[in-house]
Amino acid sequence: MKRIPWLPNRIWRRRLWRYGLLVIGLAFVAWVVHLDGVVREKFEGRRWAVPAHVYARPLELYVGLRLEPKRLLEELKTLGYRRRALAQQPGTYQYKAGVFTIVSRPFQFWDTKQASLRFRLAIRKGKVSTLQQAAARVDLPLLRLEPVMVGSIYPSHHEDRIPVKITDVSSYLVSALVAIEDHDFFVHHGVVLRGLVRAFFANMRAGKAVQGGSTLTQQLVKNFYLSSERTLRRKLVELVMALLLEIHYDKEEILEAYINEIYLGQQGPRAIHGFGLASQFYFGRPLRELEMPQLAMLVGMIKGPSFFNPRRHPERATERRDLTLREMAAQGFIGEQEYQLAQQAPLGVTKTPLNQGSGHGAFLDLVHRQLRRDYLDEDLRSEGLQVFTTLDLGVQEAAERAVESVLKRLDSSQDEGSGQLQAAVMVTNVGDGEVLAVVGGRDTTYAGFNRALDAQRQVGSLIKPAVFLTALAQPDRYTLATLIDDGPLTWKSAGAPDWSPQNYDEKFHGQVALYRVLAQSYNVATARLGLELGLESVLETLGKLGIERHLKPYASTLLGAVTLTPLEVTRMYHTLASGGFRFPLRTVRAVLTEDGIPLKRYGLELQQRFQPEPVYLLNTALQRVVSQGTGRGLVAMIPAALNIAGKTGTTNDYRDSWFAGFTGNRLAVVWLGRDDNQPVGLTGASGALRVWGDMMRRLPLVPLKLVQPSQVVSVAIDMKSGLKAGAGCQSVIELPFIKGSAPIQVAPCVAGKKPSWFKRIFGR
Amino acid sequence: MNAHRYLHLVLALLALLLTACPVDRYTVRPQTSMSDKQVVQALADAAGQEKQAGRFDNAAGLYERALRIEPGNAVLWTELADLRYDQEQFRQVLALAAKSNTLAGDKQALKIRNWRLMGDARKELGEDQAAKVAYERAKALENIETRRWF
Repeated sequence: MKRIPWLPNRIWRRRLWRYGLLVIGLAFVAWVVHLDGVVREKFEGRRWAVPAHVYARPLELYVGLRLEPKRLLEELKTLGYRRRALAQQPGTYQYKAGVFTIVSRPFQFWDTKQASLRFRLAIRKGKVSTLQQAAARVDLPLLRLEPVMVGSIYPSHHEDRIPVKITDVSSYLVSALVAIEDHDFFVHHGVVLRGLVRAFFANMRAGKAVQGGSTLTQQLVKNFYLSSERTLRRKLVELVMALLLEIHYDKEEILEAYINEIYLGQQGPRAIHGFGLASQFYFGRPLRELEMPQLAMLVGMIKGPSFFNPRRHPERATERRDLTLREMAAQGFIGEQEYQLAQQAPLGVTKTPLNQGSGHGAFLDLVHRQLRRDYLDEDLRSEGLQVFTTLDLGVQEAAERAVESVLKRLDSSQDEGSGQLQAAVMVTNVGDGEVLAVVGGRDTTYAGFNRALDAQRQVGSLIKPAVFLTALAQPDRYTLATLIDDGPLTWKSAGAPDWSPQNYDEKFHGQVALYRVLAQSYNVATARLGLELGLESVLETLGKLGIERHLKPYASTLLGAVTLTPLEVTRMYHTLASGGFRFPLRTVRAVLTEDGIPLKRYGLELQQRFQPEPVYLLNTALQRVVSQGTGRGLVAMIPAALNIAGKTGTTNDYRDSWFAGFTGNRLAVVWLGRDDNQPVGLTGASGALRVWGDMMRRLPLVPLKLVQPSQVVSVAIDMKSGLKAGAGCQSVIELPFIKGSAPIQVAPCVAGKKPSWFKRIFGR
Repeated sequence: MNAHRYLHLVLALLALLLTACPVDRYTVRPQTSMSDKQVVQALADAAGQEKQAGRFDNAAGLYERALRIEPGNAVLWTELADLRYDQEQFRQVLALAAKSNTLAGDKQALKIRNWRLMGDARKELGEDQAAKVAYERAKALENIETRRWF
């Protein structure tokens, strides 16, 4: 047989075509199968890294609670509650002359789920006087308002969101989306050819890709799966994936993903994704409470969240909203009258995004650090954990305002570097060690150096209570009446220069009773007392008080030549405020999963570090610091009847100004100084104490009533001799003593008694 | 007769006027609202029920809420100590009972309960000597109490 030369060629060519097409077809199928895998894998799993959401403490309402109407109004405003003539919807309230009717929102607390409740609350003379269910008029024992969300711990790509379920979404939101973004959403299969063709020609004319012609499904694919590049290849991928998505999932699922995925704004590095978060971000309340025009505004923003930003460009946002409304009316989703009304509605956005990323930065910083001990950072940023904290917004607000106003006044007294004065504040609840507020610097919106946690500063006289507590724990040697020598002192130790402490007034005061040494903060007498006690035992006391870092056993430590952070000082004074019990300072009460299942509770814990008697004696002496000593400036700001206990601290050349003090319910530590450690010309009393007082006078306070231990007795003492007083003595003071330690020896001033020097020296 | 009819009319009008008055029922109503003592009691009762049901974490949370309202209530600290005993957190029992003691004032019965709790916790911790001391303190207080009765 003769070979026809062209035949094999033709057959080969045909075969080549056939096989070629087959290969291409197979490759296409493989590609589609691959895309199908991608589509399904990401859609079925955890769709987003959901940030941990952090809540402030809930406001607990009960009869007898000290609460001003103003404070409750503020709380309601922060929660985004709206005032109505008749409150009926969750998230609304009525208010008239001290009487509130509030419809609370349902909320999943860490322990129970609280349903929405319409209740009536009356405030009389600064106290809650009535708390009842509004309709049934049944008394309520107590009630928690849902807590304010104060921040998120979001992933490194900075996407923040609050996912919502499609079943919880208003039908207006869906119709607005369909009206403005995708008319045929409920009928198409992911792609609309007409739109594609239109977009194609528009792009041809422009010579580049300008128009999307995308359905909601395509938009979702673009945002959820793909990068933002605009190429033909990517467009093809998008089309195939959109079709695949529609094959596997129903419209509701796709819509839900879209509603949670879409980008709707920016705050610094934080990207606002999804309508759930956007609702909180722009309107300060949950999505289900938004009204139709507000939903239309959000939907309108999809086209360009920064161009249509309602805070920056309200006129653009309004115009765009109205267009959305017009489309909704044109397509019959809303009636003509509804449309007219909606068009007239104000935008209603809040002035600033409430409580997000501002103000509480310093507190959240502490929360984050405490959580990192128990959770992986990655989990915090992606698992949607709900973190319930101890932050008290009222206290935080008071602290910030006090810092702001007092520092402004102090600025004028600064010789140079006005505005350089910095501050840190920590406030805790005395009863249980919960941290209520943290101020990390003067500019509370700036999330920078957190001075409350990280500024290591000399503490000066703030350390002295440790010396006195060490002494008072030895009642056979020391009492509050023991006379201490405040005469010149030089301390010699091998290998170190001689140390001669001075008093602030540069005078010596002779024999001074121990309680007065503390009240007047005399350095020389304190140093002498500390050296008598031994450095090691004072350091041991400091450790028991909660100072965990190793302090060098130098004599100057006795007068506070050591650096501590405000947080450490707070720990130390909290142990005193709680009567010798050490409470780990807590910022987190509980952590829940995204679905509200409790993961971990951080309960109250304590350890007894000191016997109650010496702590009681010391605390009465700290009360005298405020009533008679270096802290007496407080009386101008806060009623003396609160019996506040506290201590001022000033360091060399007036570089640091401290005040630590407590009432019956609150402990606060304030530090003022400069970051470059230059002098600020302030004593503890002229600086930090004023911030402390200014803050506390804004808060409901409980007087400090120290419970006298049964082993303590009160004895009248002659101030001059430190001996037992009686009729005839001029200056008498009542002091507490641990039983058996009070002076038996009668003072010379007692009528009919002649001073017996022999007895005075040996008689006790 | 006429006067009688007028009187009826006046009374009827008066009654109508009274019922039509926009009286705020809250001001008329006797004050039945709870005091904060009762609130603390309500929380403590709820905590007791949670504890009975074995939901210790919830119970602890309720006691803590009560303590936030009334931190000086010695009984609450003892109740919490009791709960921690059931949770076998014996070191916490010691601290909580000691805290209660510092607030108990002249509540001798409560102090006795605290010392016994501390004794029990010490025993669980294997600190028999300290347990003995605690029981002795309880005993001593009991003796004072008995003497007081006679």
